[in-house]
Amino acid sequence: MSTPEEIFLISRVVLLNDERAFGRLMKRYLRPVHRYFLIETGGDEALSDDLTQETFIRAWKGMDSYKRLSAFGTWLYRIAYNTYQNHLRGVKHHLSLDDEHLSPTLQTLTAEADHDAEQVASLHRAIAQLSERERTCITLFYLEEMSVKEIAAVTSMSEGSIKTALHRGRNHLRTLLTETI
Amino acid sequence: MNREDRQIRDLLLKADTLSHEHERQLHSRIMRQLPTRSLRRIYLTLFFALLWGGGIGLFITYWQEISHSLLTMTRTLLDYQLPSMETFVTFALCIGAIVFIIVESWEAMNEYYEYEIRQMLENRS
Repeated sequence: MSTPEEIFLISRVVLLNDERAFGRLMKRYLRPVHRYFLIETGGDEALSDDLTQETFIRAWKGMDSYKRLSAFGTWLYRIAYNTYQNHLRGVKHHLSLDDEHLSPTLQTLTAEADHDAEQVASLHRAIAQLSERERTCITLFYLEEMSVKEIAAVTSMSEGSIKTALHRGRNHLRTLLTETI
Repeated sequence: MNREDRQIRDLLLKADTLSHEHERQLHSRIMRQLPTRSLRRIYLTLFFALLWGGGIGLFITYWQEISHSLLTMTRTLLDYQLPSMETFVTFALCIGAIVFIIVESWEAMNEYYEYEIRQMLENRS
């Protein structure tokens, strides 16, 4: 559920197209949305920046269509999810497990041989091995702390499928993380 | 979330490599890319501007009458006399009308926002 302050900001955006109110809303959601894309894209920061930008611009343009039937966060993640799906359809972007296909950011991080950076790179490699469905569900459930119902609202998947994806993804990720980190 | 879930979450959070500076830059970049204001906002701004403008316009139009009646009233009061009924009524009517328009437009604007916010809260619950 949106907080009263969020509702106030949304009202200002819907009624007056108040850019400052939208800026404040964006401040709350910029990092989570960017993080969602970072995980979906295997740590590609430049692509995550672009997708985050596209998501917020689409949200800005579509504020009139926000029917208040769901929390603002869920609505925004739905846009983010659709933006990523459109991106996948458009460029046929597939995560590869090979180092040569890792994003430049990750390659840099790996080259630095820094322990944390190495851990992040390994983490992205592990996440990339999950199926797209598992990755989305795991990200929304663990990182964005969404309920199964909210994930269903974002992805249009059935609650049963989400529970299955979460269960499989969790087991899969546990095994991968034990092996890699 | 149980302990294991929290461990997975903490581990996944490490994938968040966005620095505060990068976050700030991305925020500014997106703000610059937002399309311009919609017609709806322009109409609403015009509507309230007309109301406020009406009040200020009245003040300017009747400024002479207002200042004249104010001066007359002040002078009369300084002489320990009551102003004439005509002066007093002119002054009260002019000031009353202007204050009424400004206060009403302000209230209308606030009520309009509050109504929309209430509607949103009701729909949410």
